[in-house]
Amino acid sequence: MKLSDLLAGIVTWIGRIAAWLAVPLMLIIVVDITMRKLVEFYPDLVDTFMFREIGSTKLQEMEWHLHAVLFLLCLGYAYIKNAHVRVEVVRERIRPRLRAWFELFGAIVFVVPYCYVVVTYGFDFAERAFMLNERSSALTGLPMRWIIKGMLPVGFVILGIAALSVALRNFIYLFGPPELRQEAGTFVEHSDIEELVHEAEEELEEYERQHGRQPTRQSQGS
Amino acid sequence: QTVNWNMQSTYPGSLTQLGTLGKRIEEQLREVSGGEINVVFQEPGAIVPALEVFDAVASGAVEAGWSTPGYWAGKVPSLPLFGAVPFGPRAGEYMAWYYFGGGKEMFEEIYNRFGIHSVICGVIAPEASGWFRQPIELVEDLRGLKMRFFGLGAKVMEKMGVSTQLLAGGDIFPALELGTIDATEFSMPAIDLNLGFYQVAKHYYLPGWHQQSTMFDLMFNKALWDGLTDTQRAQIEAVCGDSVRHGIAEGEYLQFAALAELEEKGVTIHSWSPEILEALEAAWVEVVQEESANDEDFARVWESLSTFRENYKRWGELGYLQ
Amino acid sequence: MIEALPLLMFAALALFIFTGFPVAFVLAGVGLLFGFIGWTLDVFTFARFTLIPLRIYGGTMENLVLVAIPMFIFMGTMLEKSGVAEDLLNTLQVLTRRLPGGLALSVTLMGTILAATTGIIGASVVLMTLMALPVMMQRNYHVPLAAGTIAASGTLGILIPPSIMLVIMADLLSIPVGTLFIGAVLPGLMLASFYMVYILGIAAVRPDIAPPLPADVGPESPAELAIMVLRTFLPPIALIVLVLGSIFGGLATPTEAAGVGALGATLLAWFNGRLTFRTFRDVVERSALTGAMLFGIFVGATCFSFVFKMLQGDTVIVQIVQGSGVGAWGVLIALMAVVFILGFFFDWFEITLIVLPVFAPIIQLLDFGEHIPLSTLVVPWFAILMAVNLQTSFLTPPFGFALFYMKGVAPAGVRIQQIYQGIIPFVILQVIGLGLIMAFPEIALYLPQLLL
Ligand code: NA
Ligand code: NA
Repeated sequence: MKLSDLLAGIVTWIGRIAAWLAVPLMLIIVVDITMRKLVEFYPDLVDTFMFREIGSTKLQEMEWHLHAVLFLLCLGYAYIKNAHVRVEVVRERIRPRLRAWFELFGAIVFVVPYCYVVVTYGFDFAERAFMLNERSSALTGLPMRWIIKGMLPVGFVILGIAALSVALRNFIYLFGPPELRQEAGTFVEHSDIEELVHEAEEELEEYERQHGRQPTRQSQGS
Repeated sequence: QTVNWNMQSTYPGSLTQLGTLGKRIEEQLREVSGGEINVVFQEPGAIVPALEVFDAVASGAVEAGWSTPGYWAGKVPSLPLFGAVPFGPRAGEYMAWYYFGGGKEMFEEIYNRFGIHSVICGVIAPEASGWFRQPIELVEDLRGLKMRFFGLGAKVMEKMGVSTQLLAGGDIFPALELGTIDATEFSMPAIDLNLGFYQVAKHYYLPGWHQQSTMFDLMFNKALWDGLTDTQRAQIEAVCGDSVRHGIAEGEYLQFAALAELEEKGVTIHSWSPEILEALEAAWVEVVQEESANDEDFARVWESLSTFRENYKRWGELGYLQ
Repeated sequence: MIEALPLLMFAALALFIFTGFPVAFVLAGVGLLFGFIGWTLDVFTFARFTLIPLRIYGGTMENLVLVAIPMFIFMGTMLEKSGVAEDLLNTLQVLTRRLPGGLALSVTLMGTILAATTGIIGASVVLMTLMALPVMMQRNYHVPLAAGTIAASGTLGILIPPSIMLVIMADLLSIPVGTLFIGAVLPGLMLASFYMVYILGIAAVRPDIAPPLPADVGPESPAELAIMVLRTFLPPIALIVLVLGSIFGGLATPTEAAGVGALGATLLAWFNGRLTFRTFRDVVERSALTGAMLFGIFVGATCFSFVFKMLQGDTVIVQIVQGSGVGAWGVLIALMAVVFILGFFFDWFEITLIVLPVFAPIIQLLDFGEHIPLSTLVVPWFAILMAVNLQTSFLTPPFGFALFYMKGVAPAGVRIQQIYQGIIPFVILQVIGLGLIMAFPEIALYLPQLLL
């Protein structure tokens, strides 16, 4: 149980940090747009450092770099947080024990091997880029493609860790000592718990909204 | 032994010349070999995306690829010199260098290092310089211009003060229409006509200084190529030789009608002023120096090509009407 | 046996997906499983799996247009958390209170406007769901109706230009993008108006599933109403002007406009005094989770469709269409039916790759007589039919990707069954629309002929 929590903790920690990449992504887009418009009016800007050394192509490549890192590093985080979509038509009608079996099976038979494939071959892929010292094929873009290519296996290592954590948790739920079962069951019995947490959050927000400052929704005033 | 392979293309099969040549190679190989060489043309992305063909063929997971060496500029800096060279030779001179002036040996040796054997399998006519929203009359007009461009030509453009853009494939068209970018490079008149750039930009510039002729290649995984019989290899060489002939003839044939139709659609066709071409060429010389300093192979291939062109010059001047 | 493998893949997918295991991983796992089966039967080599990272890298990571997705998700989450979307929809509901289903109509209108900024279904469905679904539920809308309205209007973006799908189609067919962009406008608007007519009708007949605003809710005097409209309309309108304006003013590409929208929404929340650090962190983390959910499906689906392709699944599909179609209309209808069904399992890109290059030349040679005014217009017409069909297949239960995206961000109480139930009337509307464009090609071809 401790191990499962530790693994989940690592994955969550990485995911929560990577999530912030959305902010530089947003800013880079806006900077690129602004510079591009400015240069229309002040063509001499092309001689500045910003244009000579950074340039639109580099910024635009940086956009997909950031985006790729963002979603790769969060794949595992999303699994831990149970954010991946499920079709629960059947699931909600079956007992938690069977759910735990399905989850254990899926994590071990589907997720871990897929991670293995992507990590092994993805590593070769990044290694080739490193050996070639691959740069952007646009030539005016970014150098060192191995970094971004290397993020692919890294992301899937994290997803694999997340899957192990989930598998372990469900294993304990199925076979572990009774005192740990309840805790381990949070994942299969998640739907109720997540709902509760969600509701609590909403209530808190509502409270803040109404008491923290003046009510903002006039339509509900009466 | 019968060969059943995949040929991952970097161009859609319906694209004039760039794609149709690939489709034709598939057909010709089957016929010439009496059905023993089946190399199935795959649309870009069907097995791997266009820019991943190199890695896929090198690893052998895809047996063959249809592309141009110009695509691999980021991986192997010298290969673009076998695809298209800014201010480079016309098709006749280019082929003379490639087949007889030492080009082919260097080409194969460089590719072999990465586990690929490649056969030049198509040459086409010059490209145009691209589509512009406004006319470009002076060298200064290029400064601050936002243009989608990439490869060696893009490095040249950057030296001219052009802000080169990458842009998502789907964004080029609306961006050009609405003025988010001022210009884009594309292909030759017959292709540009089909793709409808005239719908959003009205100024078309020629000649395409960055691409006076383009070579395409059929890439094979080296180990698989070596495993073919002599007959099969000869059949492939023969089909590719024929494809080179077909490509250049078809390319020369298609353009004038396309140009006329573009003019009919309200496009103004411009020629670059000599001053602009001179400035571009000067910038290109700088790019060559930088690339040569960075990469030994680039320097070696460039040296070979420029020595050849130096020698050819006298013949070119005397032999042809200017 | 070997020929049946691709079809068995569908069966296995259906089976495993109902275990409730995440869709993304089921797609990947079934792909792996069949790769393994194919390997034991000697029709697949394991070395082919080396291509999976190449597909993820070249198809998803390096794909600049997909950058719009995290940005639109961010924008949607920010608008939701900061209450801006809710205020806007409340006001719209007050304004449209005399119309049955006023709120649902407003949502459809919003979807249509949003469609002009993006062509990526994942982005627009998530954005719409985040903003509109909680409000509609709060107003006691029947969840299926609310879900159906949002999913259907959220997918309009793939028809109404700009649309990455139309660009890829034009590319594969080597026809002008402009022709497809303009051709898709009328069909897109036609579908949007169908949705609206349906909503008006159903809300008039059954006010209980689309309750009108109670008479005592909302401002009493016209002056108060005016203030409310101003206060709640100005911020989102400023945002819409910012996003659309940056595209049409030649500042940003449609992809980049998503980033502008994300920043704009953040500034808006800040001006409104609703941007605490906690909210901001919440938005950042929520968006990351939603994005990972969506791209999880992308990277899982790429494995499934890759193995399907390698097991000659595309050949099987081609044979099915060719075997079932007789005559020009027979082929066209068979093809449309197959695309419709494929939409259950694949994303539009894979379907387009299987179908377009093979069938476009065949369709082009078919004789539709006087039905199509010019033979050169057959292919654009066909492409628009494909586009409408693909939009529909995002919605068809049980495997509509748009429905999965929606489920991924819907409030916890929303069941996928409710979404399935709600989408059915809209799918019927889509099929009617498709039939109309087949019967009256002018709907797709009138504008291109007029303008180009
Ligand atoms: Na759109
Ligand atoms: Na579907």
